[in-house]
Amino acid sequence: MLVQALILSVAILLPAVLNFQNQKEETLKHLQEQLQTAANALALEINPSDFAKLSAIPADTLLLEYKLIHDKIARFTKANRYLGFDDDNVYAFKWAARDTMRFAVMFYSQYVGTPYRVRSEMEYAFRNRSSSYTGIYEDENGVWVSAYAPILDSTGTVLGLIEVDFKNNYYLTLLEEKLRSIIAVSLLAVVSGSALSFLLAALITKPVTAITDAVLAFSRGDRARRVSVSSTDEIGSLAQAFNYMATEISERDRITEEIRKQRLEETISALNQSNTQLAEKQRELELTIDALNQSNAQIKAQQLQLVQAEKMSSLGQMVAGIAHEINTPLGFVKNSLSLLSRNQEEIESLLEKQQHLAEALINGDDTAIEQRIADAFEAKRELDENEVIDDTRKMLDHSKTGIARIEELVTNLKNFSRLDESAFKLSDINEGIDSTLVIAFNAIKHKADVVKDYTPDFKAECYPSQLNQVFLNLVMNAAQAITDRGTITITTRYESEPNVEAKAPSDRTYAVIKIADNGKGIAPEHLNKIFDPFFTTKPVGQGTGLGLSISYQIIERHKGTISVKSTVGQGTEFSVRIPTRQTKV
Amino acid sequence: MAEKPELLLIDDEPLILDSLKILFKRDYQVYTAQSGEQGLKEIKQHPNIKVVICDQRMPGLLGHETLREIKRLSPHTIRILLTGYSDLDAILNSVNSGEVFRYISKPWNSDNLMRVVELGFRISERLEKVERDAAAKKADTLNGATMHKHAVLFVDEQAAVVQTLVNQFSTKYDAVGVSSTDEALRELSKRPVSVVVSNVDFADADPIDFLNAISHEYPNTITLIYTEQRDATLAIRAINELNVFRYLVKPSDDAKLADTLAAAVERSNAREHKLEASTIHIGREVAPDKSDVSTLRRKIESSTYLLKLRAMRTAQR
Repeated sequence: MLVQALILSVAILLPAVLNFQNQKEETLKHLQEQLQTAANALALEINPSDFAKLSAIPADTLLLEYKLIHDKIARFTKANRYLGFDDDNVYAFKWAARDTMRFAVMFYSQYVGTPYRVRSEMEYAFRNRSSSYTGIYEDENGVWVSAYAPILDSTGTVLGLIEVDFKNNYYLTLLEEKLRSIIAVSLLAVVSGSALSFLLAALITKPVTAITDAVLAFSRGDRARRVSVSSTDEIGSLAQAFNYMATEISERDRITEEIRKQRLEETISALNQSNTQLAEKQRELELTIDALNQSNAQIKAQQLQLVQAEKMSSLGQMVAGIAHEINTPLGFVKNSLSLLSRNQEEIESLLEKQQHLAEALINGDDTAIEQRIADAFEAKRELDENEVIDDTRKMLDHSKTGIARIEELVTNLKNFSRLDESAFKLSDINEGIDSTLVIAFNAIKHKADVVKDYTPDFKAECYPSQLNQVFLNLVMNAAQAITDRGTITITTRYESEPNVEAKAPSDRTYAVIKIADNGKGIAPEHLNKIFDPFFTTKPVGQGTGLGLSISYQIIERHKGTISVKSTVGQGTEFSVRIPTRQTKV
Repeated sequence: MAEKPELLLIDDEPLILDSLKILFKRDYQVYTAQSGEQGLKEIKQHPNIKVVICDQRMPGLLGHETLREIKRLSPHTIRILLTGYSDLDAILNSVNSGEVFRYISKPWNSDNLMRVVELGFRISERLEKVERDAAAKKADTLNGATMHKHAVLFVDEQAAVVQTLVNQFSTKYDAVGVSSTDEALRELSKRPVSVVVSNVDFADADPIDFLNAISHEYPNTITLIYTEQRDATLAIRAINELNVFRYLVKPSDDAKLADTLAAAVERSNAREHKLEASTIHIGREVAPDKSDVSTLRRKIESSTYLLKLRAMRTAQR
């Protein structure tokens, strides 16, 4: 209650005080301006030539000019007495030394000539030939405000200063009194208001507040809170009703609390249990994640291995095929060579016998001649019977053929791999396909006839060995798709941008290679999967399912496309389309 | 002039046929065929063909298929596979279905090939005789045969594998399992064993030498390789040095193993009753001087396995 009263008082007084402060400042400003105006007016009224004639030390107060100026100041003081000017409020100063002025004209002439310490406002007025004023300042005589105006001669030289002083006690006292009365009224109002509210509180507010506090406290959880109101009026019964309700609620709360506690304990134990389970699950999950990471790493490693395996598998097939292709001619060449040395001996033996016969004939050795003739003829007969000469010629031919076949194979092998090339190179695609066919010949020869429909001088910028790998894969697939005996058709064509007919070499924007077979075809449901890694319809161990996937990547590297058309029972056609020029990056 | 022995060459490469014909025509009556199918026609036309040299990779019938047919048509004809490269499947097929006498790689050594062919003719003759004798006594011998349980020895370094096999076959056979070559030799010295089913994956033993020692000492014992090793070189050695009965690659289904084992036991039985003979043994008997065989024999004779086996047998007595 006291606090309320205090707040109320402050609320009333604060604006009053603020207002007072405001008024004080405004009044002061107003005062300063009025003083300034007055000082200016007086300074203008003083004749500069009269003022110039005054000697300052000590001033001759009997001088006519002094009297004239003294009268002027006295009149001015009188005229402005309403402002509160007194006789000692208006002076004229003359400059004396660097920081000293002397009273030149004033009401009490006995002080004329006494020095006065120069204030900054006076110096300002003097130097700037303009008026100035001070703020409020205090000395032992009271609180003051002063304004200064320069006395100027016709050339604008400052001859002296007029000071108009104002002891502002008068206004301030007035204001302070006003404030005091406001405070007094306010305090009276506050005190009487407070007294009234005390009275009211004692009668009504206090029990109601007690009940309200109790309700609030009760609602905030103070279940033991009761109201002690002994009166028998409405407030008393309200208090009783509250107490009854509070008791009821407390009891209910106690029961609820017990149940709640029990439930809470149950919940906590359940939570603990599921926490344990969760922790376990988390551990399991972590283990699973570890395992997953591990198997992920394994899968990556395996994938790498599989890509390698596909390479090795293709390579293995290729090498096996080539081994067979080389070993066959090598077989008969080697055989021929060992037979040729046998035949050589037999031929040499015949030659020797003939030589002996010739010697016998020359020597005329009759006894030996008959035997030598028989020997030579017998040897010749044997040679003929064994077809030694014919066979020798035949085997020499075989050997030449065999060596030529091996040579061709090795040349194609070299062309096929072209390991020395690591950059795009303008290459003859037809040659690449031909090399591939030689390499794959062993796999194809029993399965298919190859029909070549080549565009002559068919060139594109490519990695030749990589393209050959694609051709090998496609040709081998084609051969495998043929069940009995079929045909593999290989077409090479230039293609231009759409709507442009490829006539000039510059129009030949794309090289298109088609490899078609009339084999069993690819089932429609498999058709969109055949370029997927690991997709294979071959039995386990016979295909890694990576061949076409790798081919796809190779053609992608050439900024080209590989596509497929297939009809079950009729055959499959793969189209490889690559730009003839690889744009330089 | 005596009739020349008849030899058949089958290869799709005419220059091979030509070349081989020149090699053999002085000693043999040579027939040639450019495909398996044509080869079978020749066999039917000329029942006296005793040795066949056949290429594996040909259009139409493959080499091992052709040889399987020839074996059916003319069991005593010696079959030689001449092939350009060692594809394990081809090798396994050649032993398991064609029961080839030799597996020879191109390019071949002409002298060796001539020796093998000559040996083949000699063995064929003896086989023919065994066949004739067998036909004469087949009925009474087999009827009177005691139906005892045949002993089968399983050899594998993994004891668990051996145990499984023994359990699987113990009702039908007198099945014994061992997990080392030494134990195997000890078992063999105790009693006659019809079939040895062996792995070839031994930590410190040459499986072919080991099995050769057994086959050398017990001509009636059939050797069967049962392994997860897909080893072409080993398979070729198993054919050429051991004349292994079958080379089965694990995993093989139980039925196939059981059938193979039954066939092996039957073969052993036939050998016991001289209805059939081991080409290796005939080879040793008919051509002790042929380097191909004698080298092999010297090797076997000096084999530590054989020495061990003999020592154990002596100790048993």
